[in-house]
Amino acid sequence: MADTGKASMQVNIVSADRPIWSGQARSVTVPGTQGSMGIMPDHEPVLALLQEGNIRVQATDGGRQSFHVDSGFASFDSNKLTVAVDHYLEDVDQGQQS
Amino acid sequence: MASQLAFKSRIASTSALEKIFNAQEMIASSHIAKARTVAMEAKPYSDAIFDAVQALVAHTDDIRHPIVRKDEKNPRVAVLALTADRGMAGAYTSSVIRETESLLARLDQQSRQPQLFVYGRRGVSYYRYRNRSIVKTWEGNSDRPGVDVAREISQALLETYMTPAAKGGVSELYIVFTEFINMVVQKVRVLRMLPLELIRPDQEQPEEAIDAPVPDDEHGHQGDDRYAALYDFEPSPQEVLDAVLPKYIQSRIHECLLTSAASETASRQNAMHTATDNAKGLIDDLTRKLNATRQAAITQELTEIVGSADALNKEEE
Repeated sequence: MADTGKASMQVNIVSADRPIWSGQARSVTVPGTQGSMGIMPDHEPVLALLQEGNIRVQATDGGRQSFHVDSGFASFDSNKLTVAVDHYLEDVDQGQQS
Repeated sequence: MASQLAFKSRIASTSALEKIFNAQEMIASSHIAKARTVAMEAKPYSDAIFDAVQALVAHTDDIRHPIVRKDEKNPRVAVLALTADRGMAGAYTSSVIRETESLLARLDQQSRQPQLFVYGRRGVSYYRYRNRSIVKTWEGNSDRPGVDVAREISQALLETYMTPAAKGGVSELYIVFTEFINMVVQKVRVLRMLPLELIRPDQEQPEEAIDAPVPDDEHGHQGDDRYAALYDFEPSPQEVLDAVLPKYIQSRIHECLLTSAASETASRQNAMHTATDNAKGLIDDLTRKLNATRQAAITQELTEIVGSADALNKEEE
């Protein structure tokens, strides 16, 4: 991992039939079954179940993405976050604002 | 010798068929590209699930889940055969059916009671015609199976598997599918899907070695125990297990469907290619026969003309 002041992590978001998004991110918020969970780089290894909600990604290039998904799970291991969801419902467009 | 007209009409109908075979072959080869993309796009998800299951196996001491081990004795087993919806795919469906039959016979010999599940219209009509009892069937889109079909199938099969023996549940699940090796070779395989065999990542598992995550340095110098203690399951390991294992089964079934679909398309393309070649050969053959007939007719006419002219000449003398 190239440490350039701000840490980043590799994020892969996939649904059952296709990949949705992948790239470097500074933080990701996932809708865990026990409430929203924020994941930052170098988080401890975790495997969390998800419920329906929005995944919010803050990419390293400053862009923000939000994806509305239903159940699935997120796993974080060796600075790599993988979010696997059953259905990708829609793009909640937040565009490139801010 | 058949009339020239008969040859001409046979040539015409064979060349019409050849066009159809050729078109089918081209359709099949365009579907293969699609099937490949679909399989590629489903791969990250199944990899993610596989990694998650591996993590679960590595970080929980003893997985106690019916999907992994079922204790009750139950002679009933489920067999799922993946066949094609449409024909014109050479021996695709018939080899799956042959393998299924031999599996059923083997299970019968072990005095088990196989319950048949069939996917694909050809397989369904085969067993319906022979009045065999089928528990459940699915049809449609066998050359492009979506996630929905995989979900339906895995839900139905898991439900049957989870039902207690007294209420008609099964103790094992076998899947007969066709593995896509390459464009020319497809192999019918029998896979025991349930109960799931989970192998700890530190043990070698030849079949899925390719899917296993590549261990990087970070894992290397960390003690396994320390590493295990660090792993966090939300909300709890048991709940994660309950949620992830069915998904894993679904994704495995989806993989089987996808590789079967690719095999189906490939064997359809091969079959249609052979049919086109055969039609070409037949047309050549018929054209040759037509020419021979035409030559014979001309020769006969000439002989008649020459003969009658000779006869007239002789009369004048």
